[in-house]
Parts: sequence; C-alpha cells; structure tokens
Amino acid sequence: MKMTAALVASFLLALGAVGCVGAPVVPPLGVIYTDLDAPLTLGGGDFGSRRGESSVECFLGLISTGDAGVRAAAKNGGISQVKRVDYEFYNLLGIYQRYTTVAYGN
Amino acid sequence: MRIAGFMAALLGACVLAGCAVSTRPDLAHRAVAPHRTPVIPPVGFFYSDFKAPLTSGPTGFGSKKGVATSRQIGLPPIPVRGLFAGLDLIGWGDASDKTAAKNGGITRVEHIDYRLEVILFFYRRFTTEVYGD
Repeated sequence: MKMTAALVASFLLALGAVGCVGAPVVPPLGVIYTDLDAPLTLGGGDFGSRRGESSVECFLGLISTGDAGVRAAAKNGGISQVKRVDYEFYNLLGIYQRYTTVAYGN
Repeated sequence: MRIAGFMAALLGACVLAGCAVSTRPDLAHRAVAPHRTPVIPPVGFFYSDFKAPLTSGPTGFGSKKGVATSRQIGLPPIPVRGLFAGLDLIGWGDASDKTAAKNGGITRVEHIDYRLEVILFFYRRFTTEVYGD
C-alpha cells in the first residue's frame, strides 16, 4: 500500500513537471502541446545578421540533457558578439520536451 | 468518492498551475531541483545534465572560461505529511561568479551560463560558467 502511494506520488510529481519551463517571459503553456517562441533579452536593440541555436531535450519528463547555454548557441551560429537572445519551447504530451536558446548577433 | 475525485483534480490543477511562473515553485520542480535561475529548461525526474543561460543581454565571450561549483545532497520526495516535497539536507560549495572568474583568471566578465546536474533527487551539482577576459 505504501509502495503504491509512493508510486502514485512520484507519478503526480512527474506529471507536474510536464510542460514546464522557467524564463523571465513565459507565455501560456499547453500541457498537451506547446510550440512557442519568447524573448530572453528584454529592452531595445538590433539582431545582427546571424542566428545560432542550442537545445536541452527532455524525454518522458524523466531524463533531461543538452547544452542550451548562450555560449553554445553563439558557437553554433558562428557569432562572436551576441545582440539578443530568444528561446523556443516545444512540448508534446510531456513525452518529448525541447528548450532551445536562440542567439542573434554578428 | 466524488469528493476524492474533486480533491485529486484540484491537487493536479494546483501542481500544474505552478508551471507558468518565472522561477517555477511548482511541486515537481521543487522535488527534482529546487534551484532558482532566470531560465530553467525542463528538468528530468530521474536524471538531468544541462546548461542554460544566467545572463541573456547583449554580450561577447572573451577568450577565457572559469567555473565554480556548489553541491547539494537531499532526500527524495517522501509521501509523508510535511516531507512530501523532499528534504534538502546539505548544501556546500562556492558557485559565485567572483570565484568562477578567479578560477579562470578573468578580470572582466562578459557572459555567464550555468550547468545543472541532478541524479535521482539525491545529488545536485550547480556549476557557474563565466566567460570573459
């Protein structure tokens, strides 16, 4: 009985993690499906001519790996001077979630 | 029975409602990795090892990199009243940007990322990664 309770509690916690991301700006998220872009850099500025991405992927809400640092995004886009940073968040039923940092610059 | 169903739905709604805020004080995140940073990608329930930005303004990166680490050991979430959200026992280390810069020989910090590793609730390692000259 206690084991069942522990499993149910773990499942509820895992369910709670589904569709979640933390950022300064978080538009309304969908638990079933989410595919959105939002800013990380607030305030004015231009974008430069290049774009680079880096991602963290989360499978089944259980395992999460990747490098979504701005450094990695800039490196992937060949950017030495970052002007602005956005992010993308994709969620499909909590089975697959992907957080992507998008760097713009020159 | 109806009341139990209603309570379960309410609990679920409360847990999910915690998601749409900046620092994620939702129950699941609290149990898995109770860190507070501006950007928090999805955290894996069993294992996480990811990097994310700490600063997100216009920036260069300089030529050097320095890191500083703190660690924490806690208990997993236990379905006992008062302990449900896990128990953070011991946290130690210096993950400050000053120490990271010092470790990398950096005098002018340009950008900061962080790395978070979480293994089964028990062990959490937070690394500040500083870039600059």
